[in-house]
Amino acid sequence: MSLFTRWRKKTNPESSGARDDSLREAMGPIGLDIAASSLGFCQLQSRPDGRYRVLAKYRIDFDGERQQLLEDQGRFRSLVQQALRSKPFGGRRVCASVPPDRLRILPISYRARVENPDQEILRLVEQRLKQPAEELVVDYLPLRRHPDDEEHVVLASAAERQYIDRLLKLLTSAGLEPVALDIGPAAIKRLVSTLNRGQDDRLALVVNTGHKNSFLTVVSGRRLLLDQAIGFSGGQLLDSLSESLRLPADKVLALIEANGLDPAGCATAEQADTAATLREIVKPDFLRLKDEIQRVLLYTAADTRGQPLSRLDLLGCVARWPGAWKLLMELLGLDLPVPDIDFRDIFIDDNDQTQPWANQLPEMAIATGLALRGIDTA
Amino acid sequence: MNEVDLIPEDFHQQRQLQRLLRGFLLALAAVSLLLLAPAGWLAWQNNRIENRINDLQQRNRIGVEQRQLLASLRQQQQDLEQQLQLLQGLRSGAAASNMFLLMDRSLPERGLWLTQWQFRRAGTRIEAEKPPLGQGYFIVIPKDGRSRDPKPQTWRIDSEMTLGGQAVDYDALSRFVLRLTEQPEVSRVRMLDSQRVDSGRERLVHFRIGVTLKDDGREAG
Repeated sequence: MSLFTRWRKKTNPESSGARDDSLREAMGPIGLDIAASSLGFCQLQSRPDGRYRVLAKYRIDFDGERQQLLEDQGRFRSLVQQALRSKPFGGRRVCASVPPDRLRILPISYRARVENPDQEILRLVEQRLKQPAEELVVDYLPLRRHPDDEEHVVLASAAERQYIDRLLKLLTSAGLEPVALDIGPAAIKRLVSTLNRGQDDRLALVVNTGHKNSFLTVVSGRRLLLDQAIGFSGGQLLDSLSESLRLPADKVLALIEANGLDPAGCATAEQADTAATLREIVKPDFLRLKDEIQRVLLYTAADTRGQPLSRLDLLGCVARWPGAWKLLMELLGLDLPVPDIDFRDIFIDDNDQTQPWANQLPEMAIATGLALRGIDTA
Repeated sequence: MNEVDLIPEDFHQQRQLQRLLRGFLLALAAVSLLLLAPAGWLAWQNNRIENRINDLQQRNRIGVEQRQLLASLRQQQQDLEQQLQLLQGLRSGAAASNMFLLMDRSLPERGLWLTQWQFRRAGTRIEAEKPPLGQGYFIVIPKDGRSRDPKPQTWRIDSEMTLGGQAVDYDALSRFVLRLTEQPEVSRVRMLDSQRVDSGRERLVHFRIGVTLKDDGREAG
């Protein structure tokens, strides 16, 4: 407690009570998701009832490659300033995600009996990446750490020190105050933990799709069990469609957005036909995704003790395709509730600035998970 | 709760140091402001008072100059009044007809005649301590700061007649002088010049006599 706070409490006990209430409704940092083709901003405020109020959220697409944007300080700054001016973000503290293309996420197993686990993990990371530790920034999340186990497993994250320094400089030069550089799986874990609150045995799978690669993240209750890259991507699907339909990628994307992948959800027979065609073309890729998911669930079955999947979230570019989530459910033979329902129940968008979006969960999941840092009570 | 943070520790330290430095600079600025504000206020007050003093001094200077001007004007007025009195004094005194009567009374029946008559009335500055009693009338000049002479000065107005003439002999001349001195208006008679001049058939005495007239008892000033 600061000196000023102590003085205020002493001189005005009534105001200190109000302050305590406001502390319970703490405002978190701005969550900044530096995605492949967009920047996502979200800021939350925890409520006394355990839910969260969305103070501000903003998503802005950018042209070109992400790396080009990150190398253009002026452009990045102008995008950030545009977001901060557009919505009522409080303060400039930011928790940003390190872009996955410059991040190495490694599951590391080490002997449980080692004296200094940090040193051991660092040594193993150095060994795996064949790069000296001085050139890296490394941190980790424990995945499996039962006292009885012979081996413990962590999810180590490593990035080049120079890249992290450049990223921090970029953020500070854009007028932000970085309080943490997080990773996507940790943000997803935080979000899913919040959605799973009070039900520690719930098993959730998140399929985070990107243009070049995708990740499967398994969370049990509040525990991150696994985060793994898979051979499935939005770009790959578009290529398949483009090749089969002999259409350029942007036309294919427009077809998907107009018709989706679910013939039953279409308004007209023509749309249903198109949707059925698109579905048939992408089905083999979705079947491969299904196999990856089943393999991962099998891998984590030991930790989950055979717990069935309670929720499946599809994030990223493929999540914007109407009917994609439903197709995946059908292929997996699952009948799970629509993920948006509890998301909208927990993250309240009740003011003029933050009307709920149609695709808010898939588009803002990482930014929301980052914004939860420091205020998540799940 | 375990969290991943890829911000290096030295960045956090650097930010903390920057925050401390910023806080220190803010505190320094606040303290400087606290110190400078009274100093500035005092300087402002001092400046204001100095301006007021300068203003008053200026007014005082103007007052002194005006007082000096007033004194000068008063002196000028006094001088002019004195000159006026002097002029009035000079314009007054014995009338010409009385002077002719005086001369007429003094002239012997025969043996002396006048060829020249001059009358002069003039003011002379003299010390007041030694007023030449019974001569002219006086204007007393009051002692003031301008005068270096500690003694008061007055104007004495002298009325003098210079008579020139011829006499058949010194006896006639002496009778004339004697009768002049007996006249009540005459204060002093001085023989300025006399000489016997041969003019062929007879010898005559040519003379010049200065006659100082008495004042009429009035004083001015």
